Amino acid sequence: MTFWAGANDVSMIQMADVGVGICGQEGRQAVMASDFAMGQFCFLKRLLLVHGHWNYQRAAYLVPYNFYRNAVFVLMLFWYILCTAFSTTSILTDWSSVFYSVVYTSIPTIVIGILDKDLSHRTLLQYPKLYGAGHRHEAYNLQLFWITMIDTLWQSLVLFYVPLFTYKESAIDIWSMASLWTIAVVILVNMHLAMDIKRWVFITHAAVWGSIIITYACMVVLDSIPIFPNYWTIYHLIKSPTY
Amino acid sequence: MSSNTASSSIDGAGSGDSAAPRRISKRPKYSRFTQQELPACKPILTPRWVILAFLLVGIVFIPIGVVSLFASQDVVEIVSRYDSDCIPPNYQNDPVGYIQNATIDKTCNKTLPVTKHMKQPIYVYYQLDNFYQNHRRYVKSRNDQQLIDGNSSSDISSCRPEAYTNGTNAIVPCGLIAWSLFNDTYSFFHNNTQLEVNKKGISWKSDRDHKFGKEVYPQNFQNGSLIGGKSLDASIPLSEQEDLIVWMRTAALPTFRKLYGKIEVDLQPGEVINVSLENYYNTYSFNGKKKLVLSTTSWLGGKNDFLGIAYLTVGGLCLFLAFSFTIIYLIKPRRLGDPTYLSWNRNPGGH
Repeated sequence: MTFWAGANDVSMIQMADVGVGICGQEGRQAVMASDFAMGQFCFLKRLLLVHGHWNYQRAAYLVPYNFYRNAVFVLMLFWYILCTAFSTTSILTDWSSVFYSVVYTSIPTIVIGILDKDLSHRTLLQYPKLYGAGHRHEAYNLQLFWITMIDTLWQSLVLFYVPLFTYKESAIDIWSMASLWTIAVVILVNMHLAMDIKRWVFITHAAVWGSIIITYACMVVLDSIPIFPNYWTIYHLIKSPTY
Repeated sequence: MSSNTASSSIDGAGSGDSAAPRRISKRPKYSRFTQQELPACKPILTPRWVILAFLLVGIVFIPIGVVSLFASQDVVEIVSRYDSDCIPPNYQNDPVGYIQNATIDKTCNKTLPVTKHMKQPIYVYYQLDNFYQNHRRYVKSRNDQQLIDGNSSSDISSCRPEAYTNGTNAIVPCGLIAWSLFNDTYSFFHNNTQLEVNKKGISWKSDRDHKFGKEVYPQNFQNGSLIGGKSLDASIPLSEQEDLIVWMRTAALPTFRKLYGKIEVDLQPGEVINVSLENYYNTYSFNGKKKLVLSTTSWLGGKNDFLGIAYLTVGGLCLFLAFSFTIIYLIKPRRLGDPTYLSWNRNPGGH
């Protein structure tokens, strides 16, 4: 990381992994070339120790989480293909698939990325050694990544097979199973996130539980449009306690 | 932190009536959200909470599991596979030839013993195994617009190969799903009196009202060279063809049941039901199985032990984990905030 103020240091800032510039007496050329810009030199301590640490923790958590979120979803579709004579029938309707990524599960991810803090800024300023967590690859390393992937595999298997065995040899139809699996995967993914959130603020609550409620609302809306094949499935399903 | 700002004299949070002249400040307006000072809750996973959580889950799940298992045991189900039994002896080696020969009488008689009291309504299902109603091309092979709207009967997109007869006349209802309509029939007799099977109301009401039209009648159905299943009475509109509606709700799994009808009398233990069935449907070409199922229902639906067992297993596992965590906590407690667990203290030389 490099940090300077003058115009002659622009190339140095550009070469560095992270360039921080000061906007001040010597103009703004350094600022234009840098990744971060500040008003005073003394802000650097806070930038590194507090925001740098938070940034690292959040990014290190969210990268595997995003892999997990998408992989659980796709693996669920994959396990279903094993039951359809390998004919790639998608258990979800097109709208449901699109909504999953965009509406049902994206907002909590964004909210956590902005708001979650594992330690307060006072603690981080007081114990600079905590910043070394980044140097020591504590929050994101190859081992953690593979553990996340194995966890994903296991969760997607449970997610798929529990409803399958519950409704085996029954009169259930494709679109009702699809509704069930959609709700299940959304709740699973959001609960996983909820268990890992270190600092709950009301916005976080709204994002996580709100996403689940929005999922239900969207499914009700989608299932009320007669053109779609999954017409009325959610109403039919909810009537049965097995659901 | 706030003592280090470069400029600004007066706090930007909206004090309007100061007498001193205000210098222009670039400091952003203070709000608890932008300064990330919202009130927050930081739960920490201590052993006590973990043990409590597992105990709670175990205590809640085990009774649910027990209740579910009892409900499932209450359901009485009679399952009878008949496709292999109903082939006459001289056709045992050529079942496909038997089923495709229209001159052979396909009537078959089976007996179903009733072992426990069955309360009405008793649901009659036909169960098919190894029948992939969820195959991609099969699921797509229908046209919903044609089913609901009488004017769109020539709309046969996505219905090939069952779209036209003789290349010109559109088939209503078109597509493979309708073409392969199941056509075995069952009649039930008890002590030589026929048990009436109610075939009304077996499909979803929303399907009858909104997906299958009241003005749409079957046309050119099963007119081609290959007959896939049942033919439909052309004078009955689609919204009343309940067998078709039930069949067209494509099943999710390769082993599935579909409702055939309901018997609305009780059956006592020790009775013997004689079933006279017509074995028309060809499942022999693909090693499928056909079964006749009579089943009562409970509040939980049909017979399925899985939910009860799953709840019991998870509940039991949680109780076991709660117990083992308690033991570990008592034997080898770990103090909250113990600095020897910090990562740089654990690997003092390491990076």
